[in-house]
Amino acid sequence: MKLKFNYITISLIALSLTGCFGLDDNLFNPDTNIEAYYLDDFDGKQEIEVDNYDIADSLVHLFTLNVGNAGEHIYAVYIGDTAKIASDSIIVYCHGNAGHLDYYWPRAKLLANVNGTNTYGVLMMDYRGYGLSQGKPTEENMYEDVDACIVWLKNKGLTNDRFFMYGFSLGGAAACELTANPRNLTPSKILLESPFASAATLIQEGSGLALPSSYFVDLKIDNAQEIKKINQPFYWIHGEEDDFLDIDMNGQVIYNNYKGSYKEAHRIPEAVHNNVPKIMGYEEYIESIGTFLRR
Amino acid sequence: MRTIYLSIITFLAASCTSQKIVRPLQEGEQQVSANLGGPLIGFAGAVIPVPLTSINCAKGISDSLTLHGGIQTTSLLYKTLQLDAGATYGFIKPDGWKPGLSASGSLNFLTDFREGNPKIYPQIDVNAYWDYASNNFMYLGITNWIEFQQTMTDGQEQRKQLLSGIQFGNTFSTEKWNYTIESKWLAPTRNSTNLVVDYRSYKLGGESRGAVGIYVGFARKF
Repeated sequence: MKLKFNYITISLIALSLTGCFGLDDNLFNPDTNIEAYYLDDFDGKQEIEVDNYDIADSLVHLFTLNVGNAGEHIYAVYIGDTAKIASDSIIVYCHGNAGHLDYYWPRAKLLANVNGTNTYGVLMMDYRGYGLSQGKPTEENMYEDVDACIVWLKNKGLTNDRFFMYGFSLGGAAACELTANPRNLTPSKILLESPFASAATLIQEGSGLALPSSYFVDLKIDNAQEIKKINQPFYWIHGEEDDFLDIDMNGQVIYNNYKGSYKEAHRIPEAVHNNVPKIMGYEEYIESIGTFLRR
Repeated sequence: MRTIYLSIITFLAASCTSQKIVRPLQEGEQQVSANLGGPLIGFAGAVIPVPLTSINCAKGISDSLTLHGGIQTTSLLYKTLQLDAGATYGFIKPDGWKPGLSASGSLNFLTDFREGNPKIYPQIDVNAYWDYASNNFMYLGITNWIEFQQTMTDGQEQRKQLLSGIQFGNTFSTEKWNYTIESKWLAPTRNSTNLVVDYRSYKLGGESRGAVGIYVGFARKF
């Protein structure tokens, strides 16, 4: 009985103390429950399951990058021939909040089959705190981690004109930020899937009241405003039945705010937050992305 | 995606405390109370109320009118100041099994220590209450926060102007102390199935609706 009381007491205190530091950490939901990356051999839950989009083992490169000042390292995977980064076009894929490289691996494979297998290189990373990547997930750390990958590509010869940025859900924040405010390379196109409008919108949707986000968090994520700075062609795709990030309250707002050179919207009927490619149909999804990247 | 974005945020502002005054104090009577509780969530294998705290004070201006004010102490930890002030008026006094009826009007003032954004939310509560066993009483009522803003932060339509809840509770009263336990069903019309917090709530049509809160209060009377 005493043990039970102590357990509950500690839980209550722990919950209370989370407030001392704000609620920023609650944005991130890293899954660290893995001991290694298995990619094609991963037998855990994956966001979507795909067949017939295999990638040759010789074109899959799992590597680490040092990030931040504390000597931490993150994991990333590059699909493609690293010797051809100086000439290939490359999609940097910023994944969502629910998992890690293994979880999102099928998505990376789909992108590696856009306009034919391995036409584009694809780079995907686990942000700090996700998967086996070290460190703490924060907004700025996420941006730094994606940018570290961009630097890795730049050092191997990638240039702005062959660089495409793709962000899914949480990853849309990194994609938007680093396209609107590029640090090392400037993407030539941006693709956002099921993005959220802003941290403030998340809070207001959740609370039911138009509460300022500053009541709870220090987060500055504001894709709906950042998109206004972007002139590069913009592709938006979102499930109409998204019951996590409402399409009209989030993606549609971003799309409406975009005033750049070209934009296209893909509202996918019957799709929810994380199954847009599946509901759309993998081939149609790939063709849609491919058409946008070719134009 | 359930445990991420908002965590304790949802319903926080409107769910910090139990009903402040249901049965008006007697003229000249004063009380200071502390409240603890919040929405029930699944946490570390247990179901617990979010430990939101508040401190309130009240004074009976007449036997029907009580003024009250309070501060939400938990929100201070989130770098947000939340104060409230209001009045409770008793329209009908209980008579046997016929309930008494009271209504409370309050203003909730919020601002934060990050950017200093101020907001004011009017709150209107109505409660029916039944006296029993000398000085104890139980109550049933509704609470409403009113949102005047028509648009959200990025220009989206503010879809609802009311955040409502249904509460029922019981107050055990001694000469110097009141002990209250209350349950509140917050936002019962709102689908909370896919909210990011593991709220434990009632289901309607197979969907979890709103959040159920449990609160306890201790009031010292003077």
